[in-house]
Amino acid sequence: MERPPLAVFWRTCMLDASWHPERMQGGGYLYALLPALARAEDPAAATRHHTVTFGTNIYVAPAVIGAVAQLELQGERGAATRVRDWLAAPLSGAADLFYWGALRPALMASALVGVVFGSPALAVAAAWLLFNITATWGRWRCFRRGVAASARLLQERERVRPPRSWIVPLHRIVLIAAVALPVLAIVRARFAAASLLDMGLALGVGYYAARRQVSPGIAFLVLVALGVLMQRLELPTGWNR
Amino acid sequence: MNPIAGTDIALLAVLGALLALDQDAGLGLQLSQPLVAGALAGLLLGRFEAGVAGGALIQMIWIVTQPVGGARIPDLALGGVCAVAALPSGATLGTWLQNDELAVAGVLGVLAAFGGGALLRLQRRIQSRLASRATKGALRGETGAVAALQRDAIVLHLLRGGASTALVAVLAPVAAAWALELGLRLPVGGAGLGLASVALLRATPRLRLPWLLLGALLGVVLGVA
Repeated sequence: MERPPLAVFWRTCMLDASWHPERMQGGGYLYALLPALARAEDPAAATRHHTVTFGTNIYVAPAVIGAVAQLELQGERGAATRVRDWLAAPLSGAADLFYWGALRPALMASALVGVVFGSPALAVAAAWLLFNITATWGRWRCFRRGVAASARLLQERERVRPPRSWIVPLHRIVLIAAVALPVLAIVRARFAAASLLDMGLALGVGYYAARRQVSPGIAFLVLVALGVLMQRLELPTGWNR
Repeated sequence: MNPIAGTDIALLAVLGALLALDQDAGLGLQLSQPLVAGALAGLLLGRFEAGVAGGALIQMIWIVTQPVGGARIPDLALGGVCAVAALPSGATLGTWLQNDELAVAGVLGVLAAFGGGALLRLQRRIQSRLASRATKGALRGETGAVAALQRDAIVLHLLRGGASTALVAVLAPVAAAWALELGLRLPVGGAGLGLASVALLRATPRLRLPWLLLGALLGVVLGVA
């Protein structure tokens, strides 16, 4: 049985390049499929058929694209359409939760603990490597399984979904880091008043901003403005040194 | 505050171009996370510790982001590189959380991140126009139009990333010197940590006391060590 060329996988690594509000990843999706569609029975018709709106998480997209490419090579366009339309959104939800909501915050928070502890090079390199080993292996595994399962991917979506069992331990790392970071900083600063006061103010402003869904960048600018105001008014804070 | 040399600006522009591909084109290697981008910019400029300090501050501000659908995410890589360019070359990690020059770097980094986000939205509007032409071609079965769209979009990412990074590398040291002269000096490391803690706590669905206590213990042990 003919398999999709490897170029399909490599092209999934630039899926977001031509992202735009009307068709989202539609351009990148079609571009990734082109090497397979060129070998389809009617390449022009296949290209027309896959000129669509498409949107999913970049790390699980190879599963959907691999399966669609395989089905196009087999001439099963109806099944390819079902896989494309029914699988992209549910896989995206699971992958967003895993990669953006658990893995990346856990590793970046761990790296920050390392930076505050005083091992910046090791902390940054380890967090970056761990993320990429997981994500790159995940992308390749998704592509292989997508191609192998093709139409069965709808029933076997658990095989390409990011591991849900990892999410709880990753959230625990996030929780530990969220508390360890300020405690570590305060202990290292020998309980400096500056740390305690601006951190306390930041916790309050940050909590309010998060509840109101205000950008953390705006919250930071507000904190700096508050600090400047306190300095000007010569209020007894840690910022008045 | 020393301006950055021309060769270093060129190197940063190349880095910025690659970071734009990583962040916005789907490469997804997370080189564009501010902590990593800051460390890389610091390495290029020969001031790794200042790079980590600037990048870490922007990372703390935006530690949890969800780049899903059309979410308006600021250009965090540009923010990280700008913060590094705004920090003095002698900045070290020793007392960086208490360093009162960090506020200027943070403010400029945040502004650059917002500016970079606006530039990305502008690029995507341009891509909408390019895509409507490519879609017409694809509906006629012409694959060349799709490949051209993708190629043009990648070139736009490279140009936007390179140009915006070069611009902040030129402007950030000047703006930082000016702001420091005006007296903008605050030790904002604690503010960054506070924001990071709130974001991380909100990112977890259930706050379990044993893990919070373990975090406090870890903080004390590492802090004393």
